[in-house]
Amino acid sequence: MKLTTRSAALCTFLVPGLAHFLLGRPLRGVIAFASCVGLFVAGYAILQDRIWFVEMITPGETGLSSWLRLLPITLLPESPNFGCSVIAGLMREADTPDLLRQLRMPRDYEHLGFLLTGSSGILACLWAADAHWLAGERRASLPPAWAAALSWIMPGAGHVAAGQKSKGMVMGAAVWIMFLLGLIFSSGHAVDRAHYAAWWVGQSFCGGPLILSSLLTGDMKFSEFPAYMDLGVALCTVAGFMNVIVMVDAYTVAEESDVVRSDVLTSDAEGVSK
Amino acid sequence: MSLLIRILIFIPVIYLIMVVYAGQKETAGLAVLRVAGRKTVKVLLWTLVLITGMELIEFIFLP
Repeated sequence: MKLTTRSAALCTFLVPGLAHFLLGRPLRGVIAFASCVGLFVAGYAILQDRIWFVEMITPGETGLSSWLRLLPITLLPESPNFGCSVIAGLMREADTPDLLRQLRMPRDYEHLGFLLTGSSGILACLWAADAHWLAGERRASLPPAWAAALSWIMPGAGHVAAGQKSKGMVMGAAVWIMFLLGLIFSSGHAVDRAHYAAWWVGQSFCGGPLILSSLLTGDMKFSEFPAYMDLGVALCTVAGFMNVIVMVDAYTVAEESDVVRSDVLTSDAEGVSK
Repeated sequence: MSLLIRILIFIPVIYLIMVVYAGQKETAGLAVLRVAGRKTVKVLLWTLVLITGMELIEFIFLP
């Protein structure tokens, strides 16, 4: 089936993997669906209603903002996994004083839950970029979205895989050092979605460091409030945004290396025909 | 936090940001580090100019 690049991306946001199925890539479709929906469901099973505690804008019961209950676009970074977010929104109960009190109660393993649901949103974006690339009927030895995904998991790895090894290592090291500086200044408490939900959105673009810190430092208790907590949180968030640039650049490098390769192949073919 | 410590944090942080910024236009790691160094100096000079300007404004208008 033929899809435009834009409709392929939109399909993926609604149902991860659907565009890949329609474009004749069923295996990739299954992996996309399993990774996005599986992570969201696993995270939601841990968090349940607690997930709404980290929503950027709390929707009202009436008026314009009540639409946010059904279309939770301010639940970031989950909202790009739109289908799952909407289903979770439909299962949301009406705000009662009891429920609002429960929302504030920490859950066991909630750092893991927030990590899983958040990662599903980032993955939905990456799969949408992959579907967009496939719909453009372009082929590459390393699909650009995969280079970006590699850089999300391990900053700089996308460049290494795309052939720019030294640059990838330098850029990746810069992101890692920035993130580690943030953790050091905050005594390991910078990655805490329940307390710093908006900052966490930025940190979530730094997949590997976020996974490590969520698993290792997520459950740490405060013995005393770190003196430079704000600096630490800011540095980790800056590292996340730095990694956005690294991911986009890895995408571009993989894309351009494919253009160069196809140019070489074309000129070789022309040389043979002459 | 003393001014010296603030500066000691500010300079490497700016350098790390500039590494990622410069990385978009270069292809080799060494070139990225070199360009990032130059850009860091430029940003530090601009920071100095801005701080001097702010201090001047404060000195003139807020005695």
